[in-house]
Amino acid sequence: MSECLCTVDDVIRYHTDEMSAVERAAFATHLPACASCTQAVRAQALLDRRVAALPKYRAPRLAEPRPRAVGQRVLIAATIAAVMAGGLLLERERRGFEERRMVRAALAADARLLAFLPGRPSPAMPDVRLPPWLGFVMCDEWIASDPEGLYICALAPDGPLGRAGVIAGDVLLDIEARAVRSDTAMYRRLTRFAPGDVVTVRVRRQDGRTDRVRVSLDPRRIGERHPFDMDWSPALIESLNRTAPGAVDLRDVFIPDNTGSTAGLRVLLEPTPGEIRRTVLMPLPHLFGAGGLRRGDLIIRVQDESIAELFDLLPALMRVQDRQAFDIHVLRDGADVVLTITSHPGTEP
Amino acid sequence: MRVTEEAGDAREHDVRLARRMAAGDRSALGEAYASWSQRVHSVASRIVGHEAADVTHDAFMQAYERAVDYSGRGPLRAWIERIAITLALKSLKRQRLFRGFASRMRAPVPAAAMSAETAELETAIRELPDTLRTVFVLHAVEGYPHEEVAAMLGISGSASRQRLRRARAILVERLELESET
Repeated sequence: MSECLCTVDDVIRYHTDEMSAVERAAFATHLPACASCTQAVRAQALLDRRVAALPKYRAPRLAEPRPRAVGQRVLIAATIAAVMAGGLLLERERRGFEERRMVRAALAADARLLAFLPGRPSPAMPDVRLPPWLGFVMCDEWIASDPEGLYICALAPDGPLGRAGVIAGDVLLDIEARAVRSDTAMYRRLTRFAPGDVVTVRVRRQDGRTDRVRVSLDPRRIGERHPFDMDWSPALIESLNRTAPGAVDLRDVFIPDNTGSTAGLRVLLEPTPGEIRRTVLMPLPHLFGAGGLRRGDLIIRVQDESIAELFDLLPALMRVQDRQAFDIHVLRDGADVVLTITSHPGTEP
Repeated sequence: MRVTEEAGDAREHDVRLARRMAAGDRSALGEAYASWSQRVHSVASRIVGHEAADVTHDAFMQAYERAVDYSGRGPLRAWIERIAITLALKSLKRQRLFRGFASRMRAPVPAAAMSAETAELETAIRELPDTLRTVFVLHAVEGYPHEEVAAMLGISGSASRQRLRRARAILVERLELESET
């Protein structure tokens, strides 16, 4: 094709009738004078003849068994399964395999230590690296929740957050600029740091302000496996009252009473829901008013748990709070009364 | 054109056959297979080589299972061929995946002995890149118009034409046809 400007593409387009009428007429005029184009067109025609002579292939019988196909499919399936399994393992590694190992080890260590009775010498703490501790209790969703962070239901005044001036009712928004909208997110975040590290956390105060506070992380203690799994210790309950100015003091509402034949917790005051909610973020607001608890009642049991003092009542209420309904047994004017407290997530008392 | 030349009675026959297949009539499947399996198998053979038997079998089984989806707008044969080509293209993708540790596409077994020239052409077609071979087989060998080829492969009509020209140029060069003329 060196003698003319035609390309192989031109020749094929002419041969397969893809040229416009004008192009075709021009090419047809050019063709007799150009030996290379003529040869190329003939080659295309020869290709067509060869293609027309291609043989047929014999189709298999319809129900013919196909062992090879089965084998190959098994191979493909096995390969895909292997690749997926490998991917899952890598993903699992990425998502914090180490973190889960630590949690398991910490739980096992706790279980071993808790099996020993108080006063007995406790076994040596296994060599487990525990994630650091913030020292607060997260609110259950239906009591108080916040879509942007974790509602602090209670906190240890001497814990990392407490020392930094965070109080119950604040919302923990992020840790070192990473949002913590769920307990697991916060837990994952904490595993990135070690006790002694100073981290910046952002909290939203009850008046809506957002503050950044520097928090020095503490080591986790036995029994505090999870950052919000802190026991309701007397110091903690006391801190609830300190942290909500203007709120009713629970020690004025409930006092232990063992003067009669049955010991229990006497209700001395009927606080308003507002006063209670500012005091402690628990099912307490649901007990009064529609709940039926009155001044003078002697609380004996919550569900099946005996109640003798305030420290019995609050944890017992925490344990039943995710139920649709729970019973409180009270002694009212010498008669047993069962109050069924029904409350639902998001309902106002 | 092959796909549109059947009409009238043939279309009614196709619809009846598809209905019988949809109703689970195995003899209807046998009838369809006897009529069109050769052609379906030929297309598949040149696209996927030795896996053509599987593709042909699977295409008819799929057609049998999905016969209720046949709309009756085009010939039943073309509908089954489309299923076969879709399966062939999937099979081709799988072959590409395994090409790293498998030998090249093996030749299928033809119905009759081939001349040296034809065998040479078969080899040359088999050695074309997948994208060019598929278009060449569908259009030049099996006679599908470019628009249908384009629809099956999800490409434009002009892309189909361009691939065909490249395939023809490669074949003419490999077979040294210009020196023979």
